[in-house]
Amino acid sequence: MILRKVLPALILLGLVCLPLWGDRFYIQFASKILVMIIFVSSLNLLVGFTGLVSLGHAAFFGFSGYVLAILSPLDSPMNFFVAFLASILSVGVLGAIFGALVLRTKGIFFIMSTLALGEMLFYFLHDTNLAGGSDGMYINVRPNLSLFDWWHLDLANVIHFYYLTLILLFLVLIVIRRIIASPFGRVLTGIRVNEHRTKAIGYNTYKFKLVCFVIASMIAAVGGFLAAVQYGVVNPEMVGWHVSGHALMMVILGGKGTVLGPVLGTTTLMLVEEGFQMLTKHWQLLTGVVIVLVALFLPKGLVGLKIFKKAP
Amino acid sequence: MGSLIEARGLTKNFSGLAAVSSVTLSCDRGMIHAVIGPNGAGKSTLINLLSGELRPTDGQILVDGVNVKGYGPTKMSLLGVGRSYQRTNIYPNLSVLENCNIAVQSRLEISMRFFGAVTSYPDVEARSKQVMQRLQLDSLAHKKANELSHGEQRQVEIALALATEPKVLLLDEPLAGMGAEESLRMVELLRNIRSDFAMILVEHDMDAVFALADHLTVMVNGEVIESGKPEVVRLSRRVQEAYLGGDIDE
Amino acid sequence: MDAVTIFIQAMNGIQYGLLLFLVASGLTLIFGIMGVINIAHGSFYMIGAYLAWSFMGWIGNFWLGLFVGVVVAFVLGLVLEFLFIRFLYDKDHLQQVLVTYGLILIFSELRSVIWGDDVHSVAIPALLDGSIQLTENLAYPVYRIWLSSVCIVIAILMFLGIQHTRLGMMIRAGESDREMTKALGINIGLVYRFIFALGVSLAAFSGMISAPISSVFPGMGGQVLIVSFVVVVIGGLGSIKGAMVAALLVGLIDTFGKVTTLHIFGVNIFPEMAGMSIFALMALILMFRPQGIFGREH
Repeated sequence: MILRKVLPALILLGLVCLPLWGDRFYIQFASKILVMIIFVSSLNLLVGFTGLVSLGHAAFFGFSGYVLAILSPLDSPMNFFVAFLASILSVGVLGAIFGALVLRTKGIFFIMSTLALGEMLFYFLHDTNLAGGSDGMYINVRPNLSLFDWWHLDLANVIHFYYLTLILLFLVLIVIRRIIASPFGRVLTGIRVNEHRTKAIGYNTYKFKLVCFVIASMIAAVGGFLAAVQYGVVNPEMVGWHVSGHALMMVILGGKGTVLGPVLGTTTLMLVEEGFQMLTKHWQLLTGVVIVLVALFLPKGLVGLKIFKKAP
Repeated sequence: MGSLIEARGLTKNFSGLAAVSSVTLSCDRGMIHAVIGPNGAGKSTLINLLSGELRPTDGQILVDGVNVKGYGPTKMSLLGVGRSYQRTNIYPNLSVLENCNIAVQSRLEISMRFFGAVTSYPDVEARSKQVMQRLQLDSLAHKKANELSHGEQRQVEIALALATEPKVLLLDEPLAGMGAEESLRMVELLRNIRSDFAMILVEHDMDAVFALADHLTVMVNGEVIESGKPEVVRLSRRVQEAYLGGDIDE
Repeated sequence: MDAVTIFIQAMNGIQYGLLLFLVASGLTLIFGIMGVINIAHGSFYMIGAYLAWSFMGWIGNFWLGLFVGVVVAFVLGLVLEFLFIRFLYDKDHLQQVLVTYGLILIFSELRSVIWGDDVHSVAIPALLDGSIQLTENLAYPVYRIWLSSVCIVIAILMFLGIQHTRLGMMIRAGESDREMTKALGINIGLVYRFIFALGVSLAAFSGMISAPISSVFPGMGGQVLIVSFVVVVIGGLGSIKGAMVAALLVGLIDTFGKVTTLHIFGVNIFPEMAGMSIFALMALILMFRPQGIFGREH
């Protein structure tokens, strides 16, 4: 019992203290995981909580980064808050357009059309020269995050970036938690469990799914924005369906429909893949095997394992 | 006219075949209008038309005087037409209370609130409790719906419709698959709540139909062959023939 | 564009569409009968193309290679169904997507191990290596005509099979009646295994016959998968007729998109945007007829 309360506190403490002794490489890797958790959590809102299996969610992740790259001047920093809001809001608009289209379909049709629309964005970025084509775009100077000149974060500094990401991740998790515990979240549950009946008792389920889709796309945009800041570069692969597929895998591995699931799933898969990469050039083969095995034998994910059984 | 729900010349064709053909009926508050007929008579199609799940090929439906042409199930529900399904259609892995909560919340203007917890809206649960009480489900509130007996699940089915505070209640074989004891219980429950609704009841169980109905419509092959007071319809020769010359009590 | 060019492009578009039909119909077949969404379907197309390249090198005979390749693909389909797919029949779409996504990664990596990551080309078999002279300086390759004819023959066989067999009846009935399928009392396990292997063979066969006219490259599976999805969404799921119409439509639009010039504000938006045109068509369909051109209303 004590363990259950102490353990999260210890993990939190560990996360906060990590930069104190961690090597630069590990801090960067940890940031990468935190960013990915944000993205995977947003997908979980769709897949796990609302029952909408999207294979095109990376579109929002990548597009957010592209907005930042397009807006960033070549030789001077952009105001962080302006860039952040611009990215999230543009993605919200894109999410509303994509959502309005794909939500007219159901089940397997939904899966196919999300994949197709996501790839449409991929081809758009890849084949045209509007945003750097297949090479992508560089963000030469990272956005400037300062409050009234007395507080300043240097986003090129791995430690500063790490803390920013950690804070945003916590905010995202709190927002998701509150959404699913709210009356709106109750309707999402209804849609997931039995959409037909939810319609019949007077909910315009299309409207609720669309709002959820837009929220999820905007949360994905938070992740994409951070990823673009971290790497300083965006490319078409960021919106590609392999990113969506991997994120879907992380949702399942951790346990869909739980706040904790994406955290566990993302961390585990990214660590495991890092290990695979050290083993062989053909590490994707091993990833593929893991995905197949997990999907077949562990459909409830790590959260469904005994040690997590009574965790919230 | 004062009918809460009224169908005029209602017709539904499926690829040329008439599943329901020019059916006219009406029902008012406190009244139970039963629709009977052999399998394939078009009774379920009729319910699906009245609840907006199917669009009629021809004819019109009036709810409290409003022509509801083009209304889907969601709009019909919001207008006060609740329904139950022949095949249990509830939230299987949620508790009975949560089942009711979802339905109750559809009547409150809070479903687009994202940040307050559901617990800060105690009104929802209070109304759910009333519904559960009416259907004698209160002792099962925290059980998962899929762990209930068939009969209890059928009660939840009705509870979901009741929780939306309808004026009109469309019941599609509420006794489907029930044993004798469960049926009696359900008939009793329906009798207790009948005064508040205009009820259209599709049912195969003739004992239940004659115990409840004020008005009886008999459908065969999509058409109404007889309609009137149960005692009168019962004696109709056409109805007797429709049931293969047998006794209407089957 | 003059009439002959339009004619040639139309022929190319139809040929591409017919090829897409073979791939998309396999997808529809597997979903329609077994209720499984198989996103690894494009991988089989890719595998087919690489097999064709290998066999051309080893055997040197396109036709023998084609035959062996189809047999190999069929056996691969049987094995995969036995190992993975049969566990997915009563699972939700999410699990199906993930298992088949895992298979994509495995196949793609195996391809890299076996064949490497290079782009290859396959020679057109000598028998069909000619062209028909249309005008003095325009000709149309015989191979493409042969390819279209083969696709048409297979399509006709499929339509006949679907119209006249019990299995076909099941396909037309669609997923909602899978219980009925079981009620027919045939050994459903074997039928499913056969159908899956058939779908795999169709995809691989398409990959093989397309190899001589397009190059053989690593990403070809993903590309064809996505276009097939577009075809299926436009045509309506479970409808073979819809898949045919949509495939031809997509083939024509894509082909003409690549040769059209359209200047907006002095900028030529084609052919860069050609890749987008089929998605735009899909978006239109989603807007006005979300169940697809030939799909039933759900």
